[in-house]
Amino acid sequence: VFVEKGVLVADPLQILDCSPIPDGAAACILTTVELAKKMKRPYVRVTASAMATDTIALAQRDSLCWLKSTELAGQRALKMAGRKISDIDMVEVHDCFSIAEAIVTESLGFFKPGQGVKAAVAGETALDGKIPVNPSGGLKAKGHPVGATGIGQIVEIVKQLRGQAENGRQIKGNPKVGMTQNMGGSGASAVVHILEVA
Amino acid sequence: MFPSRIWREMPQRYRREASRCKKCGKRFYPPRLVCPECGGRKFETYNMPETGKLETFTVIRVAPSQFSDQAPYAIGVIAFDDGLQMMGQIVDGDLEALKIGQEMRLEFRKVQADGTHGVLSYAHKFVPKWY
Repeated sequence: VFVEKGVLVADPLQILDCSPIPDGAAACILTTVELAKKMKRPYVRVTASAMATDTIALAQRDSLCWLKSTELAGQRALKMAGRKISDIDMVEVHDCFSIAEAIVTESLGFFKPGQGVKAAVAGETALDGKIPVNPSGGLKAKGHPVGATGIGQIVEIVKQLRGQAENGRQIKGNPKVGMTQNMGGSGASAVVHILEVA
Repeated sequence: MFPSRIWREMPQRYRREASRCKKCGKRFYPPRLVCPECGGRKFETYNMPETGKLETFTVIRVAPSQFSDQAPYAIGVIAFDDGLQMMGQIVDGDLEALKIGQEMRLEFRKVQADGTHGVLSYAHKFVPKWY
């Protein structure tokens, strides 16, 4: 899809379309806003946590080019946070394979169906693009230590909201609203979080 | 009970058996407890058709260890004539000649030899119709 040369894993995905499964760890501290204020440490607010499911069997889904669980979890999260998709300043998505990023950004509503790849190639998902996608590098570039991946996404959005992202990947313009999308079972279940500055 | 016996006694494993939701009519293989379409919980089993069309497919070139001796092999989603969709391995065809939309026939084939005793397991596979 994005990669032109390399070892084919399953057509048309080449090895570099697939995220590597390394070791990794991530952690975050969850507490109330009141306690966070008392501790006098920088914090961000969790304004939405939503989940949705779909069938595990790909053959039983309505479409193979869409992730219904991600669409539903995204809509529920936006409703919970009282936000529109255009309010989101950046998003960390579960790009287990290069094609997954495109289907997820479309299913969440950032791009129209079929436009996800074009948008990424045009730079709309870059750090300075319309909607920065995976400033951390995502599963594909950062790695996909399965159990740590979801919290890893949260860690990245927290850093971005605090203006503390390292190595030149801080998104400019003081981002205020971030989203994470995680999934399992080829999208049989999906979880979307919205985090906002304190 | 031995795992191989549990496997053999699952009705849908060795019969051409799918299920149809009594409320909305949607068809499933393997059977489900709850219909994701309408929430219905009552199903009737029926004999799935023998032929369908190839909806989409991929060729697995880096396979899980128990199937590595078979790689490269094709996996596809088949849409039966009655609307039932099912995923399975495609065998006996020329991988290069596979085409979306081509007709496929349902067959039973060996999947693998299970465990240390090498108990054979079989399952549904698909064969391009002209073979």
